[in-house]
Amino acid sequence: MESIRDKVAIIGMGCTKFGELWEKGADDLIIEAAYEAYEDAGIDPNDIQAAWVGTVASGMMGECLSTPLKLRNIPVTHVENACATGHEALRNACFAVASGMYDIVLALGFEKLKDTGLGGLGIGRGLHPTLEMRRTAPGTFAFIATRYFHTYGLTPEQGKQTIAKIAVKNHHNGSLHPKAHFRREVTLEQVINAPIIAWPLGLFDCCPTTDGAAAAIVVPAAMAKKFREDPIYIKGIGLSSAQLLPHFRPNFGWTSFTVNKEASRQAYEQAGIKDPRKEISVACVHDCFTITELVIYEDLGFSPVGRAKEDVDAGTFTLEGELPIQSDGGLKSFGHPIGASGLRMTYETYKQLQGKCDVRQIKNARLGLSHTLGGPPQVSCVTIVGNSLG
Amino acid sequence: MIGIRSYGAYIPYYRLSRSEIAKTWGGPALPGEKAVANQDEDSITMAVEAAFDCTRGIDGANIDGLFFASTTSPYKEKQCSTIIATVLDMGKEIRTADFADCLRAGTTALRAALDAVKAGSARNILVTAADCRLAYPYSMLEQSLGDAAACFLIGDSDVAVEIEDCLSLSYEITDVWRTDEDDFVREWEERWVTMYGYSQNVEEAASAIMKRNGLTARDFAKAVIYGPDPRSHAALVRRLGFEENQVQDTLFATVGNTGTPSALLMLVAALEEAKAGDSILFASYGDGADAFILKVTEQIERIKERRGVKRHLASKALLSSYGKYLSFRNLVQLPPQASLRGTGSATIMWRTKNWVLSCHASKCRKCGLITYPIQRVCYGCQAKDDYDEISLSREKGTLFTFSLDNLASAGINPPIIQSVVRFQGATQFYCMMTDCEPNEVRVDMPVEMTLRRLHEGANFHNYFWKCRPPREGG
Amino acid sequence: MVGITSYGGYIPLHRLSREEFFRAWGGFAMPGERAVANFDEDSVTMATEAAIDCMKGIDPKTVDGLFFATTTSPYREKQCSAIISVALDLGREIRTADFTGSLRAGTIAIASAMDAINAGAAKSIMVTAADLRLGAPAGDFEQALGDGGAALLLGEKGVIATIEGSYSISDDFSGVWRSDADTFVRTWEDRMVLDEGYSAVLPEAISGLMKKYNLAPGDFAKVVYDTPTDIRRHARVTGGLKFDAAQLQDPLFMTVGNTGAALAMMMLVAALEEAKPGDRILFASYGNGADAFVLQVTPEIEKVRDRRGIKNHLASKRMLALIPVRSHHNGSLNPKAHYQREITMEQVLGAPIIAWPLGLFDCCGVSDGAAAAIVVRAEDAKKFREDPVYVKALQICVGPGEGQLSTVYDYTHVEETYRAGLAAYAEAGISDPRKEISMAEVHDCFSITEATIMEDLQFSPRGRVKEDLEAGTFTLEGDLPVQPDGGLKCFGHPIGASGLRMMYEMYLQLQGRAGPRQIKNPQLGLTHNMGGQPGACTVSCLIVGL
Repeated sequence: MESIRDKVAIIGMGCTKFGELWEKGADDLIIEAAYEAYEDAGIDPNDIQAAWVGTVASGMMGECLSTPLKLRNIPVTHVENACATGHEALRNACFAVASGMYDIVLALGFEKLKDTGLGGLGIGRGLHPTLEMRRTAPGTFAFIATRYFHTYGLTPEQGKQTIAKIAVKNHHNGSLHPKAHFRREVTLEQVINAPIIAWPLGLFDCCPTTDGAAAAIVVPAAMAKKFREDPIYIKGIGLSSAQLLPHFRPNFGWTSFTVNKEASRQAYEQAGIKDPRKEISVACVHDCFTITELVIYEDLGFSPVGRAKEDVDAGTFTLEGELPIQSDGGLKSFGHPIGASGLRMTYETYKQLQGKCDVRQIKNARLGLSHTLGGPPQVSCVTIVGNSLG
Repeated sequence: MIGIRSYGAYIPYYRLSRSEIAKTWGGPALPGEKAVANQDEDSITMAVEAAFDCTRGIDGANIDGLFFASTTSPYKEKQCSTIIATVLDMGKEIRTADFADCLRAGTTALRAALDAVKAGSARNILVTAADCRLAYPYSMLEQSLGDAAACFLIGDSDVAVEIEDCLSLSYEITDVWRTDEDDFVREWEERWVTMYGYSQNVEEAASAIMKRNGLTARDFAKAVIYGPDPRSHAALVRRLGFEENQVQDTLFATVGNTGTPSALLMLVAALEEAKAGDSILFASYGDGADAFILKVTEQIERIKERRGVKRHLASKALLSSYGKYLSFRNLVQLPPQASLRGTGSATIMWRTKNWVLSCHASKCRKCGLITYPIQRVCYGCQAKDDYDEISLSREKGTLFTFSLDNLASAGINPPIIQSVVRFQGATQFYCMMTDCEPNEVRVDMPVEMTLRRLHEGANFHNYFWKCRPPREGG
Repeated sequence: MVGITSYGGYIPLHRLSREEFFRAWGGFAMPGERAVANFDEDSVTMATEAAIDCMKGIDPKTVDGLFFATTTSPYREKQCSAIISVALDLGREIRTADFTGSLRAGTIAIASAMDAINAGAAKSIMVTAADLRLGAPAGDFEQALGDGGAALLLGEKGVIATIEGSYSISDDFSGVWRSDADTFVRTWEDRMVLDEGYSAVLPEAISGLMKKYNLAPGDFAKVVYDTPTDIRRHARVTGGLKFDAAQLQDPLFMTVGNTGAALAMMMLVAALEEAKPGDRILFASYGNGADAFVLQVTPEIEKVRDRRGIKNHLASKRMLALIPVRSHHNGSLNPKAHYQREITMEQVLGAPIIAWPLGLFDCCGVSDGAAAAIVVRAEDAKKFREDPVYVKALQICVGPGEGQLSTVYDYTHVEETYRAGLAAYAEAGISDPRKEISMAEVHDCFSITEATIMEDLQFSPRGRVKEDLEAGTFTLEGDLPVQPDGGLKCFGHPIGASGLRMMYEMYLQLQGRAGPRQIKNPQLGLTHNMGGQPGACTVSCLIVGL
C-alpha cells in the first residue's frame, strides 16, 4: 500500500454561511460553495474534469450536483457514508487525482435539513421495523456519557460539568466566525441547567440541525503552485468502518470507538505523525455532542485514556491552549448538515494553514486535522493537511 | 390422570386507584384499585407473560399445543395462539386455537385442552387467557374492569391438580356484551343481569356438579367462583352454602374484573395457598357456566415458585393520574407524532421472526460468542454460517448503559428509557425499558426481557422485546 | 370410530356477477360470480342455516355440543355458539365454544370436537362455520370473496365418513389479516404471501399427513382443500404431490367465492354429496398454519342425501345488479436469473399495457439480488489466478439536466450514454466498437432503452437499430451478442447490484465459464448502466478484456 501524503493538493475552497437558511434551497447552497471555491482557486467551471458530491438525504446521483452547476457530461459521483460523507467526497476526489486519471476535480458536500418540519434528525432510523424503533442520535450518544461517567468514576454532576466546558469553549470560538450558525457565547450554568434532551445530555450538549455546503478543488501536488502560492497538501486520509451496530456489539464498552482509533492510526501513519498532541497544530473533530468530543480526545491520542477531563479543566484545547480544537466553533456552532461537515472542517484547517483566520488565527499552524464520525456510530474518517511539502 | 401440571399468571405493573377515577368524574368510588396494562401491552403480550410464568423450569419440548382465549384479541383474522407459540419457541407441529366471544372462553379452552390430551391428540397443552376490556369513561364499570392474564399447562404426568369432573351449561342471554363494532362493554339493567345471568347459571352448574358427585359445600377446601362484583359474588357463594373461609377472593379490590382470565386468575391464587388433598369447586360464567371439581395432589409443592398472583400483586406502581390511564388505553388523542410512525413490513417480520419474536441470538460454534440479532458471519471470529440459535427471552441481564430520551418520546412524559442490556457479561441487546420510573434507572441494575407491542406499521401489530426491572419472584 | 354423521351447507340466495364490479369500477373482472349475504344476514344467521340443514332428521336431544368458527363474529363479547344452539333447540347442558382468529378456525373446531368425543366428554357435536369478510371496494378481494356457511355433525353413531387421522402445523405469518380495528381484509405483496404462506405451508401439511399415515396420492378419491384469493394457485399448490385434476374438489370460486373460515368445510360438503361408500377423502385447510385430515366414506352416506348442502343451494339463486422474447430465451439458460422462462412475440405484444406504448414484457422485473467483485492492481493479478479479467475502460458521465431543461432535446437518444461510450472507447483504444466489442450487457430497464443504447453506443447507426434487431445481430449467435445472461429483463433490477451482475456475466464469458450461453472467443466485453431520466442521468460504461 502506498500513502496519499503529498500527492495531491487543495487549491481552492468554498463554504456557505451555515444556519437555518429558510430562503435557500439545496441548489443555492451548492452554487455558493462551488463558486467560492472556483474563485479561490482561480479556475473556470469548465476546467473541472470530474466531481464527487456528498449528501445523505438531500439528493440522489451525481445529477444533484451537475444540474445546478451545469457541469457538462463529466463524471460526477454521489457518495454517502453517514456523517463522514463530506470527508468521503474529498477522499474519493483525492484518490482519483492521485491515480493520475484527473488533474482538476471538485469535491462538494451539502445538506438541506430544514425542509422536513422536524427540529432534530428524526427518530427510529433503522431499516428493520422493530429493531431500532425510536433510536435517536442523542439517545445513543447519551449511552456513552452514562457509561463513561460510570467507568471513570465521575458523578453525573462532575460529568455534566466536564462536557459543559466543551460547549462553552466551542460556542466561544463560533462567536468569532462569521459563517457559524450560532454566534453567541454561553455560560457554564446555561449549559448545565438547559432542558434535558436525552439524559445526561442537555440542549447545549447537542449540535443544531442546520443547512450548509462546502467545496474543495483538488489537483496533483506537482501542479498546485501553478494555481496559487499557498496550496494546502493532503498528508493523510484514514477511514474505518465497524462491523456491527455498537448497540448489539458483544463486549462493546461505550467509552471509546475503535473506528476513531483505526482511522487516526491510518492517517497518522501516512502523515508520519508520531505524537499527535505535539505535532498537530489545529484540529476540527466531530462534536455532534459534547460527550463525543470528550472521547475523541482520547481516541485520537490527544489525551490519555480516561483522563480527558484533566485536559478540559486545564484548557488544553481552547484557542489559546496547547492544541486548539474546534477553532471555528465545531458542529456545536456550525450545526451538522451531514454531507457538508467533513468539508466544512477542512475549510477551517485550510484557512488556518493559510493564515487567513483573523481573530481565530492560530500561530504557526503547520498541520491541521479534521475528523468525522458517522452512523450510530460505525464509520470514522480522519483527514490531515499541511501547508508545506515533505 | 389428566389435569393441571402447572399454573402461571400475569398482572400488569401499573394500578389505578378507583378514587382517582371518582376524583375525575365526581360520584362514588368503589374500594381498592384496578390493574392497568401499560400502553405497550395487549392481550397477546399479557398471555405471553403468563405462559412464561407457567412454564418456568419446565421442559418445553413436550408441549405440543397452545390455546388462547380472549374477548379482546388484537386480530379479527390472524391467529394469536400462533404468535404466542412462536414467542415461546414451541415449533411448528403443534395444535393452536383461538377461543373468543365469551367471558367463559378461558374455561372453554381448558376443557378443549383436557379433551385433546385425553383423546391422545396432544400430550401437553398450554391454555392462556387474557383480556384488556374497555368500559365507557364515567361509567361505574370503568372502576370495575381490570387487565390480566392466566395460564395453565394441561397434561397427564406430574399432575398438580386432578380434574375429577366437569360440567358445562350454555345459556343465551344478552346481559353483558360488545358487538363487533363496540369498543366499550355494554350492559343491560343490573338486577336482571345478576339474577338471570350470572347468579342463576353459576348456581345451577355448581349445584348440578356437586349433586352429580354426591358432594356438599362442606366437602371443599375452597370455592373458586367467578364474580363480576363482590356483592353478587358474596350472595351467590352464600346461597351455595360456603363459609367465608372457604371462598376464594375475586381479586376485585386488587386487580378488578378481568373478564376471560378472571376465574383462572382466581384459581391460580387459590392454588398458591392449596395443600395436597384439597378439593376445589371451580366455576366460571359467560353465556352459560362451566363447573369443575378439582383435587390438589402433592405435586403442587413443586410449582410454588411461580410469580402467580401473589408476587405479581406485590410488585406494582400506582398511576399518577387518570389522564395517564386514558393515554395508556388510547382514549385521548395526544399530539400527533409523525416522526415516530413505525414502518412495517410483513416480509421482514416473517423473515426475522426467529429473532424478533423468539428472541434468538446466534452462538458461534467456533468461538462461542453470542450475538443478537442473529449474525451469519460471526462478529468475533468471522466464521460463516456456523452457529446455533439460542433464546434470550428468559435470560436475566444487567443494564450496561442508558439514556432518558426526551427526543424519542417526542417531548411527551415520561422520556423513553433507551437501554443497552448485557447478557452473560458480553452479549449486548439494545432496546427500550418499560414498567420503570425514569428516576429508578441505574447502571448495572438487573433487568429481564418482556415482549411488548411497539407500533401498527403496515396496519398490523409489530411486537418486540423491551427490558424491565425484574418483577417479584422467579 | 369418530366421524362425520351429517352435513349441511348454506349459500345466500343472492349472487353478483363479477362483471358487475368491472361495470362499477372499471379495471378488470374475474370470471364467474360470488355469493352475497342479504342485508339481514350475518355469520350467525348463515351458520344457523347450515346447521339446520345438517340437523335434518336428527333429534336435537342427541346433540350435546355446538362449536362455531368464523373470523367475522358479530360480537366481540357474547357467545355466538350459544345463540345458534338456542336456534337449534339443543338444550342447556351442552358444550359451546367460538373459534376465531384464523381462516382454519373451521378445521380447528373440527379437531376440538373430535377430541371431545374421543375423550368421552360429548357424544355428538355440531361444528358450524360461516364467514362474511369484506374486501375494500374496487379491490381484488371484493370480487374474490364470497359469503356462505357449512355445518358438520360429528359423533360415533351413524358415521357417514370416519375421520381416520389428522395432522396440524402452526405458522405465524402476516399474509392476509385484519387487526381488531380493521373493516376490510388486508394483505401483503401477493407473490410473497402465496409463495411463503399458502403454497409453502399447505403442501407441507398434506405431505406430512400422507407420510404419517403412509398414504400415496392415488389412495384418495377426492382431495379437498381451500384456495387463496388467487384461484390459479389452487391446482398448482399440490402440483408437486401429483394429484390428478379429477381428484381435486372444485374450490367454488366461479359460483360462490372465497368464504374464509367456511370454505374448506363447504367444499367438503360438496365432495360428500358426490361421494360413494369406500371413498377416501383428503381434507385440508390453511390459515396461519394448516390442518389436514384423512376421511373414509361409509355406506351410511346414502342416508343423508336429502340435504340442501352445496348443490341445491347453488341451484337456487337470484342475480344482483349493481345500480350505480430474446432476453427471455437467454435468461432461460441462466440458473441465477429471476425469470427463467421463454416468451413468444405474441405474448409480448399482447401483454397488458403498463405505460403506453410499453407493455408488461417491455419492463424489467422488481427483484432482490447482490453481486460482488475483488479488485487488485493489474500487475498483481496473475498471483491470484491464471485468467484475471482486466479493466480496459471505466467511465461515467453525468448530464446537467438537459432532458428537462433543453429546448432541443430530441427524445430519441441519451446523450450521457453516447458520451460515456465515446470516453470509454477512447480509453480502451477502440475505434470501431461494433467490430471490436465481443459482447455487451446494457441497461435494458425497458425494451426501448436497449434499442436506443444500441445506437448511442454506436453498435447500430442512428435511427437504424431496427435493421439489426431484425437481422438478429444481438442474439447469442449474432455478430455482437447483447445481454447474454438475459439482462435486466430476466434478472430484474436490484438497483445497487445490476452493474456488478452485468460484470459477473462478462467475467464468466471471458473466462469461458458461461455454460450453454457461452460466446465463442470473446475478447472485449462492455457493460453499461444508467440511472435517472434521459438527459439528467448518470451513465457508466465499462470495458473489460483478457
